[in-house]
Amino acid sequence: MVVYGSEEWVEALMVKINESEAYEKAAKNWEGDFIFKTIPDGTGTLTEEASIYCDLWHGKCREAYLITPEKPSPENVEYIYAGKYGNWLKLFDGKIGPLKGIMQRKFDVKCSARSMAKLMRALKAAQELVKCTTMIDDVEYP
Amino acid sequence: MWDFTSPRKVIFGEDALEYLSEKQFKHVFIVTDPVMRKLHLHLLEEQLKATNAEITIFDEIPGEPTLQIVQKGAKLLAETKPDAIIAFGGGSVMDSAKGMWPMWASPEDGIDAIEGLNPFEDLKLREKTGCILINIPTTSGTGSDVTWATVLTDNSSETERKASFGNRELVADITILDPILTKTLPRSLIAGAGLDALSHAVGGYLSTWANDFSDALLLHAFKLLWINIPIAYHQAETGEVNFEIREKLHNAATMSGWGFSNSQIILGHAIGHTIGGAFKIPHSRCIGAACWYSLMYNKTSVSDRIADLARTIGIEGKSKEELSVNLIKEFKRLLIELNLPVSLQEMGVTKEKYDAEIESVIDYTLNDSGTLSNPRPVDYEDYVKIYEYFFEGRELDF
Repeated sequence: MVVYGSEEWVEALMVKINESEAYEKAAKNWEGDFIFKTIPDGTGTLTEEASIYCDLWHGKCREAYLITPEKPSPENVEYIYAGKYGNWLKLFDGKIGPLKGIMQRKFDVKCSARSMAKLMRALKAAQELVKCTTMIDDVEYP
Repeated sequence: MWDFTSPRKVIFGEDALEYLSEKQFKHVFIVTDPVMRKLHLHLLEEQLKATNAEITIFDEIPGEPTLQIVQKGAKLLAETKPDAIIAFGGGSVMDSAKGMWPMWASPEDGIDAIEGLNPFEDLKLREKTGCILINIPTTSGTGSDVTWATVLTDNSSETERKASFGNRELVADITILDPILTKTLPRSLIAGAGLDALSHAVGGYLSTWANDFSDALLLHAFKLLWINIPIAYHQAETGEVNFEIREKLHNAATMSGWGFSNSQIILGHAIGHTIGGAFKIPHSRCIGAACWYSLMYNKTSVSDRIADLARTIGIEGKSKEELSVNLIKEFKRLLIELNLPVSLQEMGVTKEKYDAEIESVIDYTLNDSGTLSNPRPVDYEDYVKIYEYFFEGRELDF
């Protein structure tokens, strides 16, 4: 059992991303790193913000870890994708997609105009990345 | 939370262009193409004369506008500082005008101002430029006069692709639908542009983002288009122009654009955008067949929605599955009746060209937003098969 948002969950996610042929194919040209931020919203028992750093490079995840005061993210991360915990759960359930989530203001993306252009050309990769999160076995959502 | 975005005014019907003479503009910037400048621009100038507005004309828009031509127009906008942009033409012209506006407002971003448009960023276009956007479509198809997206060609890489960008501030302040402007439309364009609008109605209605508001517009638009496209097409064979029919088509194309702009397009347009760029096929020539493929691919997932479309136009069937199959048959019959191709081969794509481009074509199709909102999930392997069938015009059996 791994708890969502824990270091173990992030490690499991990295394994699933690197095992996914569909993601590798969809993101074969992708170069860019993310902070995925989960904001507590009263859903479940999650009370503290969880931020994950993820460096994605040509269909693989080169590095991923839970951001802590001891292990902060690098400077100038290209994308910050943030949403409330309840919305992340909907995303994992497939009730909203990564783009539709932005359109519905359920998720906020912070990046430069140039990076937004790059992201809009990688929609399938984003979808496959979300699928990887659903492949982690035995997740406990607090 | 969801948005339904509309223009502030839709002026329609006979003599709708006269609305321009009632406005008080200081400087009007007209975006158009050389054909429209020659054929119909005098109709606009007559109306604007009454307002004493200064007029700048940018008439360099090609059939498939690039980011580079849009940037050129944006520079001219910055020099002339108009208080109204009038996009006068088909989808290419209106999409170009929509692209120029944010580039003008954010000159420091260059092409990124449009390429990196964040759908929810507060662009403050009107505040920054002191300008409004008026769209006057001269074809009945794209619906670009009321959409918040712009489709432009990016030829910066080896495989040209059509890329769509959007922000709701790009929705025009005013759209003017005067059927007189469709008088000279050749019948091939009545068919091709009409099928574009019909595909918007189908895609918008089947999209996973469809909603009550878009449904209302799209179902009626689908009916108006299905009935009136063949009538106008056959009338045009003999040179006849029935303005009541043309007005129905013109209105329906806008309704269709209005609807799908607030839901989304699906696989058909994802394919249409991509092959248009990669194989240099005009959108109006390829979108009908691409839509037919989208109906075939999605019939197992949303037969209830396809059946709604079938019932709207009086197609009969004992079940939703039978209605779907019958609509798909009728759709192919319509394409043939309108002399539109049903395969990539018929569109002039050779096997050599197909083999050379197909990998990047699939890559771009997968990353088109139409793939994400398609009701039946579609992956790389699915597109490999769809394109194989599409190359020969074979009916899908999976």
